Amino acid sequence: MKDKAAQLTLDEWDIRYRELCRHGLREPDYGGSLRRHVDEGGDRRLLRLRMDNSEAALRLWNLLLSEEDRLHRARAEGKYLVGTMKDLGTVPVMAYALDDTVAFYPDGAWWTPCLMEHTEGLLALADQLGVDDSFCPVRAMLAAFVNGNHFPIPDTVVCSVGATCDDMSAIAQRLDELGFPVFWWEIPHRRVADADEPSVELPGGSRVPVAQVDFVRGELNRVRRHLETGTGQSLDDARLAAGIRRANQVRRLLGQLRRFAYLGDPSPMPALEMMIAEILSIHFCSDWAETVAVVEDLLAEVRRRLIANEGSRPAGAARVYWINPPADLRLMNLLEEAGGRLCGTDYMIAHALDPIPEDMPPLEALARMALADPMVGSSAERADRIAREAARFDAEAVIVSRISGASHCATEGLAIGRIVERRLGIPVLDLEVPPVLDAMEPTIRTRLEALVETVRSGRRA
Amino acid sequence: MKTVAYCHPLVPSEWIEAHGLRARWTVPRHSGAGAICGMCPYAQAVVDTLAGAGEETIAVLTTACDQMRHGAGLLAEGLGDRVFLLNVPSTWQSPASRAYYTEELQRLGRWLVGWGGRRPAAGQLAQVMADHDRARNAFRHGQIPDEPPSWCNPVAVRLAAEAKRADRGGVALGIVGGPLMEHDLAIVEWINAAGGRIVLDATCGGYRTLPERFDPSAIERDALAELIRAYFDHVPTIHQRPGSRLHDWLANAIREHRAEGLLCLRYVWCDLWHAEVARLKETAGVTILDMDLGDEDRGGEGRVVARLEAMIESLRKQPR
Repeated sequence: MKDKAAQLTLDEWDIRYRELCRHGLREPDYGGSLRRHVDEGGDRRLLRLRMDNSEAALRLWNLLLSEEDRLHRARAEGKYLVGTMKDLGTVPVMAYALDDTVAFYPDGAWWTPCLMEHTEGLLALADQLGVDDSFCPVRAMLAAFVNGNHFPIPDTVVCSVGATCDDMSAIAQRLDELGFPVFWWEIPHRRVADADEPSVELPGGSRVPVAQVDFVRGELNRVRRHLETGTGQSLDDARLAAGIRRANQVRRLLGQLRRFAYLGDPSPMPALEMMIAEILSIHFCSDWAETVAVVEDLLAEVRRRLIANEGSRPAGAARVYWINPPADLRLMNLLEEAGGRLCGTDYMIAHALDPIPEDMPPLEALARMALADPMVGSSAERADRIAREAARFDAEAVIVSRISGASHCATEGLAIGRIVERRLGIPVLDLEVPPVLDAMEPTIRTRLEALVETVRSGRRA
Repeated sequence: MKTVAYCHPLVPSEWIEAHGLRARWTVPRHSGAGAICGMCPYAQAVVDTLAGAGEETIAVLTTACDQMRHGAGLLAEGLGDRVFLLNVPSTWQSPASRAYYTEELQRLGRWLVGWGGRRPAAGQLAQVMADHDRARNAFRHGQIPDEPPSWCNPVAVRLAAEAKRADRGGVALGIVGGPLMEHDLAIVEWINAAGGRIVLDATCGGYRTLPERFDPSAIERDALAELIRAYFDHVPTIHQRPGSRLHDWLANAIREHRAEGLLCLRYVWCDLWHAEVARLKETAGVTILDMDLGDEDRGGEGRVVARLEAMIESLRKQPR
């Protein structure tokens, strides 16, 4: 049943879901009404969100919100659970190359206080554990490990350190001290090669010294051995290559989805659903096959809407390039309510969207991918890529969504803002929101409206 | 001659001086231009200070903390390649990390040569290492250098001098945390006035982060390898993962110096020290006072003094 694109409240989705069922909706085993995530899962934030009305979006939301159940089921089935932290896209490619192994990011718990509107008490528990609100909301992960009420405790925890935010390094260290042993591996700060130093190109276009790739490849080999020991399986190159091909299937689909969604006007898929879709790339929401199916559905829906010249908001919205994931999902709705739309993003996972090279030994390819992480280089390099992509997608403004307490956010907004303004001459807005932004909503709305108005006046000029 | 400013203990001053340049642990001051929200006041002060340093100063910052890593990026906007960012691994248990640190020091060496330094001649590094080792050893045994040394935070040396001068007995305290700034010296007087004394400086750039003593025969065999052993294998820092080395060192030092309490001086927004306070309370074996410090006024003298007095008073009442 296809209807004109719209964004629905949860009440409206209840009606829509009944209609879809009446028309013979077919769903995967994790399907069902979105309402149940509020009633049974406590995800109260859905009551304040507007969600896309497509069947594809329904499937996307259900995949996302059923992940904890899926992980618990995997545990019950005796699968090996890998809690991978910070690298955002590398270790899961390795883990999913193994049989009966599931990798997930406990870091993802940073959105739990938002989804559950603090009723779960994770941030309060993190306070008690000595990690207060001067840290990034990823501190919710620490509490989720300790109270065990969310994801199952993984069989191993693997965390990348080195050029990572201090919040994650410090919180992972606390985890280790609290009895959740961490396997540490290192990603060094990505640097520019010296004049006489051999270098290679990374996915995304940066160049790094060969020596850095060699080092990271060695570190990933340690991770490989660790996973082999834990699972009792061999993670040989053939298996890794197959894992890379599977990851690339998702990445290519997401690449197409982003191109269509960010270039189409009116925007054929809302910001919120696009953000969730992009984030599937890092660990496939614990189910690679379903991730492929979900993204294919979204792509089909976007294609249909492009042909029908259809979007949930009018054409001509201010084209905004978005940097960093927001702590409150509602912010993506606010952007659109203010007259803006997404036309490109850097949710700190650009390296998880770039295809992984398949024409070289798999660990070499993974090392290059890990080093392409926008967060392991300088803010200037990150800004350079953002400026290139923002220009390609015709961005009219940039929003830097600051994550409160995050060590990189104090200065990166300044650096990125300066470079983007200089290169593109478009306005840059710095926004910081807590996990539940309701108290700040009028102010944020006003700032977003002012940005959109600035863009529109620029068009008239 | 260029001065090479640095502010992390895993930047070996010997390596800089063996290249014929002057090493100096920079003691930062705020420019008064206003705080960047969310930025560690120490990192900001370092950026402010080095941004205003003259052409004769070049700077080595490290990746040991994310704030400083990004600070180096800000600084490079103005200073260009006068800033060198040394990759200091967080992991320390794998030979690969050690090898990476070695490669980074060699890269630093090439950069120093690019700024007018010269490749160390035979025996030159060994000579500087021997000199520094002697001076550090004297400092370890209570001898205060006449001039600010190049091999540690000069404020830590002045703190040792002040602590010695002001010592009138009382409750023995250790201090631990990030690097001290000039105005932090007031803490000696405040502790003293409250009836305490400093017996252990475990701040970054002080006694804790001095490298292990060099083995003369190892220097003779391979000076750079010995330098790396003494620094990379032994200096306990807050950024290392796992973090056990720091806690082990601290527990030993507290016993050795008979500290009765520990004052953790950490900068606001320094996640690395902040998150470790809870663990310190478990491993130190003594009372810990957690003190978050802002910028120049460090959160207000009155607040700091009142908390210190309360800590020392409670320690005095405990059976010794």
